Amino acid sequence: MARVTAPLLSVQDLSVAHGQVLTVRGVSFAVAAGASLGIVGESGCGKSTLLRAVAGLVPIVAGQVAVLEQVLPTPRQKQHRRLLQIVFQDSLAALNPTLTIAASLREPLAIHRLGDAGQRVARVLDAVGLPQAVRFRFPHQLSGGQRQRVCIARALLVEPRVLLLDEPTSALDISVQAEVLNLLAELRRDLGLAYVLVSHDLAVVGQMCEQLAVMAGGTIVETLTRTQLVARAAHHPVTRALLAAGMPSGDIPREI
Amino acid sequence: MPDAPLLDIADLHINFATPASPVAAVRGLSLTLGQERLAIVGESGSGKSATMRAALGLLPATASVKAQRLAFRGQNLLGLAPKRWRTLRGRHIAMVVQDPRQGFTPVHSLGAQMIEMLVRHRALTRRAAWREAEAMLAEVQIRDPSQVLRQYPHELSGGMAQRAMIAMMLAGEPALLIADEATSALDVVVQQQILALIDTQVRRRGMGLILISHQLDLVARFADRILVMYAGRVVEELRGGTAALQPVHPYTIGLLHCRPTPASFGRALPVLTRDPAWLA
Amino acid sequence: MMSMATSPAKARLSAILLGLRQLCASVVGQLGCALVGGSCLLALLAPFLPLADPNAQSLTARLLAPSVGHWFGTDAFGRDMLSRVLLGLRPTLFMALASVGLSAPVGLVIGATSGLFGGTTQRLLMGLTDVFMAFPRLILSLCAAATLGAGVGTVIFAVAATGWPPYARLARAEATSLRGSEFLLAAEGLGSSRLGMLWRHMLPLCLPSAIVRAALDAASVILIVAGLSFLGLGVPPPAPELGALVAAGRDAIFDAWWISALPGAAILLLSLGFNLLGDAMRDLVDPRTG
Repeated sequence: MARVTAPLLSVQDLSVAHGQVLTVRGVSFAVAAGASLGIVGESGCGKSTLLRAVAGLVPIVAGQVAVLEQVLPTPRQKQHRRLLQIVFQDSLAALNPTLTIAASLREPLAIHRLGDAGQRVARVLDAVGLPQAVRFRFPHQLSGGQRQRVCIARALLVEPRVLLLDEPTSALDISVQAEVLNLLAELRRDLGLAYVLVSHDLAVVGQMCEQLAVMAGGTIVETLTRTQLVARAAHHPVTRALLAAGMPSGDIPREI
Repeated sequence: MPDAPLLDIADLHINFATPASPVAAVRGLSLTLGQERLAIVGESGSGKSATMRAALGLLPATASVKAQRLAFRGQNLLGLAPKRWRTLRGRHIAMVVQDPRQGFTPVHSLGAQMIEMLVRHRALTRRAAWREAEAMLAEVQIRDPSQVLRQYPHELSGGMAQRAMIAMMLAGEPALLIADEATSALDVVVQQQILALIDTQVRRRGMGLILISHQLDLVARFADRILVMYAGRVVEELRGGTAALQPVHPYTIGLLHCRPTPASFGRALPVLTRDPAWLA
Repeated sequence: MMSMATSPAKARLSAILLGLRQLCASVVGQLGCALVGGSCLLALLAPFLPLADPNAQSLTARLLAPSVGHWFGTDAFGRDMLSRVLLGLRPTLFMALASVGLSAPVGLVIGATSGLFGGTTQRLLMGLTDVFMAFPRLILSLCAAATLGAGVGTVIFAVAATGWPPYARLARAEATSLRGSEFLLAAEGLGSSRLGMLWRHMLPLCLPSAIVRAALDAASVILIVAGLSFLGLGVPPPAPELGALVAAGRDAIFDAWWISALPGAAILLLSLGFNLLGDAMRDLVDPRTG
């Protein structure tokens, strides 16, 4: 019998409550190292809450999150934070406006007492394609794409195994989105990371992920592979609605 | 003037004063809008929002506006007095923005705000205003208007709030509606619904429409004409509609190429290389 | 566009220089900077200036009106008022700045901590703040003087101990509104402890308002400190101090107005300077006008 490799990230029966209402209900999925799972849904389906719960930023009422078969307790300890990192949608809000980029990047190093700060920062800026001069600027002086790269760099500094991406390119121009998506794909390949990417844009999810899970009302209603997505082989009405809106048939052909 | 175009702009230049040297946001833009649907597409920094704000008199004091012509239905907008701008805005030209909840006061319910507007501008009684508000919300396809009217702006979903804002903006029966990234904060399904709603309303009322967006393929099918802006200038004009776009300018082509599509899934996306020649 | 810095020192320096330039952009700012800066400079340099001995008495030169020989006239003991006023600036400024320098940081830390931590911590710390806020400054100072004896230290202690609650309230309000910020969530995601968030994020963010408050506070503290010295609680005679100088001239006020009026004017200008400076700084920091 072929031995199945243990998944890097495994989420089982996760539930999150907001007051008396369950915003995430019994969600389970697994992602292997180097693989990428997309989670799509309309607004309010609970996908962002799910991601934050996996990141340990929102309290869980049931279920568990495990990385490398080690269950992560709630609340998370500092050492667990190094295993998964989250990148938010709004890069401007995710950075302290009064700190220089260098100061923001040094924070994770100081928290986890990682030495060689200067070298690590220089290396990670190279890895995300930013010039070293960016260190002494403030967040508002950078473009949206540069800021998002800074947030990705900050997440990479603690050397995580899993990156959780919450609509990482929704706030960016199309041309900048392409660059950032390419960067994320490259990093996944080079560092063997596992991704969980949340988006409402099917095209982005199809671009980045081999597997997708469709969420509605706090649960996963359908899972598709990328091939099934391209073939539009969807059954659930929510998936069909997303397909109709996000990937209209009769694609606009390009001029070569 | 009955035959004057809705919006007539010729050689518009907008500069913003900054602590360093002035920044040229718009460098010689010309457009004429009749009773049609126009989309203005561009990335951040292309000058599309600045152009529209000039047409509404909403630029900050640090902006300097120069143009050969800037007119709405024949009325000159250059150097217009603030009082005249107030009569123009809302009544003749309406704008819907990205975050509709910013247009509402958070401390009053939606109904209270709509009624206040209707009572003041249309001299209705409160009861008549409530009925009118319900009718307005029903027209923008809100299913339970009386319930929604009782809610506060922060309790509304993004799509609902945008519908309510559209209803409010159309109440003044304007001749021109400007939608500035009106759907950028909404998810894909709601985006299509809102754009379709705007489209229906504009057609029904015989209004002019300007859609400003950074997503070319999204707005293309809701516009008769599309202007592509880059670095403060119009670089291309395309025909809109459901037929395939046929751009010729390398910037537009590059922009379309770098979208993720099934052909690019799992591979590196083509990246837009900006040619300095496009700035000329 | 701010010129792009290429090193940490340059980034900090350009931020400071930009701030100073904006501060002096308005008349209010210029006047405030001039008054405060000028006073501090005079206070620092006073012992080295070619002034008459402030304690040298002269029976022949008593109660002389301001003239070429004595710019500020002389007092009842024939001492030169100019040198007494200029030297009197020193203890007044010192006591005021020391009091503010103690109460502002204490209040800032207490407020920021309670805003960030919330819950029981907030209730405890804000309760403490309310208790201290109930103390009337003057009464406490008098009690302190009675217990600890009059002197510079007593004044500083009394004023600082009653002065920190407003800073705490201000910082708490700011911290509470910042608590939901996404960058704090990001810091939590990175593994930061709450103390780390307080030190790295909250305190630096609440600092600008505290500084503005401190400048405006200094304006009233100048008056309080001078007032306490007027009552005899500050620097013991014969060392000059502005408030004490005003007190000394009380009896002769109708005949020799300059003995009280000139130190009084100095107090006024000092307080006004801090007020103007604080106003200019507030315009800088306020996101609506800045």
